[in-house]
Amino acid sequence: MEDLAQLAVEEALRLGASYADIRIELYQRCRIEVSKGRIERLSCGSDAGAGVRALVRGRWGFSSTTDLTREGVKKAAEEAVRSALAMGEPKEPVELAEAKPVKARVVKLGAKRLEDTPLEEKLKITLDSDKAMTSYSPKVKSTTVLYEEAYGRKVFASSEGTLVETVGSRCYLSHTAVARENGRIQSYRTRAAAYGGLEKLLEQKPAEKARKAAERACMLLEAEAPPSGKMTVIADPEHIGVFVHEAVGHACEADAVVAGESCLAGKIGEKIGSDIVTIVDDSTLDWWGSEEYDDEGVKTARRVLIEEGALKSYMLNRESAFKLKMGPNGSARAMSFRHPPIVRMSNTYIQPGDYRFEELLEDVSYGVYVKGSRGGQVDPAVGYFQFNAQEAWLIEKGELKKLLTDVSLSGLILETLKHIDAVGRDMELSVGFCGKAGQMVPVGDGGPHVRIREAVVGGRR
Amino acid sequence: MCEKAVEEALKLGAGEAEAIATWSRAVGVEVEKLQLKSARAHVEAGLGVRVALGRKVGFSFTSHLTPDSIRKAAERAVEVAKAKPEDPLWPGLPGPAEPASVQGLYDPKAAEATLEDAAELARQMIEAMKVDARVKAGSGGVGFAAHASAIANSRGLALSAQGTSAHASAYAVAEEAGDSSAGFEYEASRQASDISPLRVGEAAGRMAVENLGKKSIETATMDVVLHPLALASLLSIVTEELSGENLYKKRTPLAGKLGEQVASEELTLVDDGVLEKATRTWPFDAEGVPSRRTVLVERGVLKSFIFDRYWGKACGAESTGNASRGYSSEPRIAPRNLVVEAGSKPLSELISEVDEGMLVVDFMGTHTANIPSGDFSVVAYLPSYIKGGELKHPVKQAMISGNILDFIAKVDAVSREVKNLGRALLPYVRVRGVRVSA
Repeated sequence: MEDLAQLAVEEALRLGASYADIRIELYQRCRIEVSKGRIERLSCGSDAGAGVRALVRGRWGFSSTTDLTREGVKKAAEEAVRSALAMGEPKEPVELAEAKPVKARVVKLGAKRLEDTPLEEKLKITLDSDKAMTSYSPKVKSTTVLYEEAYGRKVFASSEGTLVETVGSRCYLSHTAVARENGRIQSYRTRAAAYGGLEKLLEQKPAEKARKAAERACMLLEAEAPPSGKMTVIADPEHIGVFVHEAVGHACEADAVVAGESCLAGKIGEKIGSDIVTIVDDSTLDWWGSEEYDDEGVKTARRVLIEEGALKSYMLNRESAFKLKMGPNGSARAMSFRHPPIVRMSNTYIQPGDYRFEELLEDVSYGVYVKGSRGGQVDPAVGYFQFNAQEAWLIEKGELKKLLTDVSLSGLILETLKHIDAVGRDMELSVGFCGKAGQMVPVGDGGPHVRIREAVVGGRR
Repeated sequence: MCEKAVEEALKLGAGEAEAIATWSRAVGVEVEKLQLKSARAHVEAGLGVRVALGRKVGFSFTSHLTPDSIRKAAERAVEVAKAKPEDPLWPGLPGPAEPASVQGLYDPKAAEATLEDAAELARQMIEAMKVDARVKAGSGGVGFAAHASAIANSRGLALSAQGTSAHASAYAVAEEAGDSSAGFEYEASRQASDISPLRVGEAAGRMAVENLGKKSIETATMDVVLHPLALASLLSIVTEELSGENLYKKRTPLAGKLGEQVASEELTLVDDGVLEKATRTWPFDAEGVPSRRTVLVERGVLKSFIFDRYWGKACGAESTGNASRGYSSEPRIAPRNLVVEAGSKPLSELISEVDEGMLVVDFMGTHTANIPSGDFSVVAYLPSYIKGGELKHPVKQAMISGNILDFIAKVDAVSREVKNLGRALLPYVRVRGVRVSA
């Protein structure tokens, strides 16, 4: 694989590239889909190929191929150079911030290796999760359990002499329960995932998580519509994780900053949140969203984005780092060899403070406690966000009173960061995927319980 | 290569085996902010193996096409089959049959198109989008691809074919006096000469400018004239309701309605796998079943659902040649090219006969439709208000909620003009008495 990588990089340089890199991937993938006890789909296979990037006179070119012969990768290098040239003269030539060439090998397979675990055992995990939902209550009318895994090798090589080989594995499980009664329908999803071996997935007790999805879907059948207007909100770790990722994280992606599509552009050093808010994107954690080296061969890092309310840094790739005169911090990721790397998050969270949950609650005379997330939308340029909670509770006089459904939280990112008035001492990270420019990558997000004053609560449309 | 994989699987103890191989080469250029954003070239090839041990079915794939990887894929498929329970519905693989004869599948010009060609056409498209100074932004793309596929199975089926495709899409944004609006156009074909990025760019730019000056309207019941793109969006719900899998699982309100009047007499809907030059035309489907033309709804009467072999057999019907997949997944039911028969009236009459109504270019949110019930709630994209038989002004926002079966029952006119959408050939249709919320 190293020979092939070298060949492609040399070919791109020979054809006029000033810089070139290649990622060659050889992965085994499995996907299991179970619904109400029936294995709906099951496929396992091998996914392999290469993606070549070439920088020619200040323009990027990219090409991918599944043909891993010498001719195949040489052709891909040629097409990468041609695609750069086809772009014409650039208005603003691309330049790369310096990165020290590295030679490294990373192994992240865990103790209970996916490769050595029989398919029957993975099927059993998936079916057990399904059973935990279907057996919970006859109100659970439909279930879906999805198991996905990938393991294998990735080699990154660049014309600057960097060579990084990663041997790793990931597994992911999601459970969705749909409950129905008297014409009302509610659904709930829980997830577990691991970067490494299967033991890390099992530590998260998937069957219990599945049962929780069924339990919550049934509970929500009795839930009431929420109040609306400005009020105090307490967000659980999962919901605050989505806020931190969607509202703050995306605005801290340096490609958006450079393109003028972020409300946080030009604000480094400025106070944008209350003193108790520290937000970090950390690819060095032992968690789902981490990687040791990014897809430009740069060592990943713990990036403090906001420190005690002040904007500190962005997630940077080499191109945006050059433009912003900052150092790259290993934030270039690609979904697979079929895509070029772009600026992405890893595990993004708000740092815990010192409040206990009861202390967060006791000051609230009227408000809403929001839990989990059903997605939402963000306009990072304007700084507007809207997220839907999976579950919510009405708070009255410091107590959780009744269950609410279809609650959404919206606001302006910069206002909301200032309205955070208390941060809990607990800490939990969730797992998920983030989509950007047609590429899905694994990410984690979370934090403690957090209290936000004057948040806008509304019913879900 | 496919025969070799089938042979390997049979040696490993499979009772039945099938292999599908696909290859494609694509070049494309992306446009953003009225500039070239990126150019890309991709080569993708792979092979999928499906095996049955009795009624236990397994699947595996590889994008690494060495003899060793292909043998491993066959081994893995057998291993997967062994881990699975018996499937009482397994119908067995299809036997050999003469593939359909189709026209216009391959165009050497599309096959040989280069990145430079695509970039040049994209530049022309950008210039064409700027119909006047009010066009402030524009995105889209131009691309060409060549495809080949082969399929073989243990019952002696062995087929292969090659084809090409070309596409251009443009999305223009116009601004004036604090108002902004969008325009969209798309062309696709198996033949390069059928698409014109120049025409696409100009149409998108023109539509964006024409949609400036949006005004609000009142919530009311009115007639809605659907642009072919809007009809295509709605048909994506209809074809889900017509899926044999949903029929078997009783997840469609059309279950049990074969032979009944389910839509307006004005509507005849055909699924056409052999339509000349269309992008979903191929001599055979993803299981090797010959492609065909299937009348789904004839003058409003439900004539057929769409099936692959599995769900066809489960419902006591034949495959309609609607199995779809790449090399890396098991077959799923998907429509081929959709054709709605043209009517006799010109579009101008569809509009002039409306007292109060809306012309809608597209719908957003059709993927959120509730398939088991047919209920949907969608946002009208680029609607224009019609009053007294005339197009008056673009509309700020409008939503339409309802049931897909009620909706297609209320179609009262179909235009004689049809638009070629690459994978659909559709007229304008008018739907009477639709509740529009503004």
